[in-house]
Amino acid sequence: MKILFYRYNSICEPYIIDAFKELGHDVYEITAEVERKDVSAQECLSIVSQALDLVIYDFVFTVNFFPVISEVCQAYHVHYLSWTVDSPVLELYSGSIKNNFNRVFVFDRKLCDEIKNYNPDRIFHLPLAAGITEKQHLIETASASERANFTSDVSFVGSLYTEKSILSKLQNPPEYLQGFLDAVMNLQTETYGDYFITDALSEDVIKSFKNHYPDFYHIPEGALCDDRLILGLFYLGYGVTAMERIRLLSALSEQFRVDIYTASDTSALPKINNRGPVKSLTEMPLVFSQSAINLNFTAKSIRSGIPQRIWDVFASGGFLISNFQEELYDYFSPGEDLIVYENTEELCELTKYYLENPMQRSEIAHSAFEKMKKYHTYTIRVQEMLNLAFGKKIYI
Amino acid sequence: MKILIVDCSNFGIPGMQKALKNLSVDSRVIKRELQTVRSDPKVELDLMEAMAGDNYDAVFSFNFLPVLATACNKLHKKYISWVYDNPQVKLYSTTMLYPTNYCFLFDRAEYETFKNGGISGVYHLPLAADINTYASIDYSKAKPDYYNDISFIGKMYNEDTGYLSRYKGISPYFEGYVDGILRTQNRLYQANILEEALTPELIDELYRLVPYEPTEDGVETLEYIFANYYLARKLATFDRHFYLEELSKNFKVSLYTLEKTPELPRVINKGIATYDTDMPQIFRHSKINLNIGLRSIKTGISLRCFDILGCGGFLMSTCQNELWDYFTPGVDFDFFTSPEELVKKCRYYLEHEDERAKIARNGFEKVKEFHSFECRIKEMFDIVFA
Repeated sequence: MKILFYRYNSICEPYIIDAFKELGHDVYEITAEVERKDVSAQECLSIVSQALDLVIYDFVFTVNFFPVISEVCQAYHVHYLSWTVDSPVLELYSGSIKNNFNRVFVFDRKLCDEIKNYNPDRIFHLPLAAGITEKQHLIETASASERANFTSDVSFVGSLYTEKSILSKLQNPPEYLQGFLDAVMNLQTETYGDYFITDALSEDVIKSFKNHYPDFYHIPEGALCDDRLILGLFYLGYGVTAMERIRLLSALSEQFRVDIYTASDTSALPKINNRGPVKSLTEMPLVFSQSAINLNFTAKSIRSGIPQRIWDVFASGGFLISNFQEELYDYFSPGEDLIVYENTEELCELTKYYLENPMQRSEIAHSAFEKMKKYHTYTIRVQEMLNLAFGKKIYI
Repeated sequence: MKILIVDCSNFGIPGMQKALKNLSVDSRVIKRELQTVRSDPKVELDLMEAMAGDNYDAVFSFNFLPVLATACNKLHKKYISWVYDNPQVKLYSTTMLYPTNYCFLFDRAEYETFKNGGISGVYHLPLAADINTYASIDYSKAKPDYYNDISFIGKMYNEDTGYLSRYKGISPYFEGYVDGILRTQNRLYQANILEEALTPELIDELYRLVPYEPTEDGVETLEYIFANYYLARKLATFDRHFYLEELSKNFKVSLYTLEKTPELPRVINKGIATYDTDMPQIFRHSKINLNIGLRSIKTGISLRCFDILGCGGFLMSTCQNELWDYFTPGVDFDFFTSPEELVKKCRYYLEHEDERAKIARNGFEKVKEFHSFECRIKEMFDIVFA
């Protein structure tokens, strides 16, 4: 098939392109947004339309959903495939989600189920994947000093979301509002598998928040989200994730040598070793492979899905201790391929245990890695995507 | 076999007597108001005198009465308590340790708390329906008022009067905190979070308003009191308003309660329903009967559920886990976990009369055969007189 791939430099793009090619398809890339970050919606529309004017493509593809591209494809009667790799994602709530030339793939099943009804039969669940060959090559050709540089007892790669915390930006919030938000956020940090904040908010609390937060996102007309979702999932979701990651890393860094690779402010974690941000392609696989224990604390807004980090750790041959995520059980066996903790105390106990048991770590990491090679390459996933998009007869 | 029944203005006393008689067990009822008495030598003496004559095999009361437990223990008389109220702070008494106790709790989670705490003499036993009484009622002479599409009989826990009014001076921050807890628990239909949600600061604030002190024999914690007597009741108010409001937007909903409810303008508030006369008729003649459970009950089945089924009513309940141990959704009752689900199911069952009637009938047959007072007495006696 002839594929028009609109890129914005998501980390997944090269792997997906390679997968398309490996499956025998031709890929034509639009790289305007890779080169410049200031491409307007109008310009995007223009560039894509022009490309579709010149050549007949079988479909257009993007990582994450671009409403404006959906509109163009709808007008040109060209299928538009998009793979959502993050959550929350505002664009999925655009009215354009309903276009019938869309084929939307979402990595988080709960998110998928939430929006499915907006376009039945055209919105699918598709877990992420990882570029295994590339990572393995990097690890195998790394020098001894490079490996040493990233050797670690316990490490975490990721944001603390502290910079995204909105609560500090609330202007003179009433005490009642403070109390309410503290309660729901404290309770949510203790709970996995069920993100209840969005539903627990009262209309009064939403109104009160908006009154004291002047930059509250202004929902465009026709969008399928509401203030409740914006406050609950976006604003508070980041806050809860921040609280959680700080709490857990604080407990761990009291007992163990913990390295964090992040651009976030880690002043709330005085005992942690902040190594600064790490390069995804050329350094991160080494971190995962050379750390005795890799940690995953899934952002609360990813309600059931397996985040990219987990796939990347496995593809790098790393040993992982993670929070509970529902979809993990669909593809992996906790205890065999990774270790899942249920609370802070257990996390510390497991960390201590596995630091003392390298052979078990190795066995578990190996088991996950074998599964990755067999079932979770990009080529396998992309073929699955194409099967879902074009397999069943869907009347347009 | 002879049993002394101590009646503290409880429901079900005539039902107990009738059931015991059906099982060829003699019983005598004495009336005593012991609800507020924990320990009182005069009361103890009176009780001991009452049970000393007549060679009783055991003493029985509904709910657990510490002063009665003490009297029984002194005379080495078996004391059977069948607890139907929840919460029941009197359970958290050192008198629960007596070897003469046979305490039957309907909430399995609460039973396990005591069991794991090393208390023997506690057992799990669901409640039951007074089938003898309910089956003998003439349902054909019902007032038109008893006919409803959807009804709910229960307390609305008004915050201006009654127990909740003691907490009215709560500071705004903690008022918000409490509302956050309640709205969260409302969304979590499986997990019970009220006790663990209480932070030390919140407990301090609640204690400032209600400086609760246990009695001499009491071992209850502040967490227990504030979670079960304050948070759970405040939540019941919220839950009941929440569901009834949503339902009343779509259907004719009747509420039988003490309090006036101007805040629920579309709900038809029919005032109080008496337990003996009105309630069975309402349950029988309402198309759908709601149970919106008190969240201090963690897994147990409310008495209301057995009463609804025992009167031949159709039961639509919040998720009380133990319902699944004895009943089957869609077969002898149904349940809801959200307002959307409740509306959807009510619409369905109001439209599908035959199916609804069949489910109510199945529920009644099941309760008649397996959940009568006679069934429970047999189970209790199997343990007490093993």
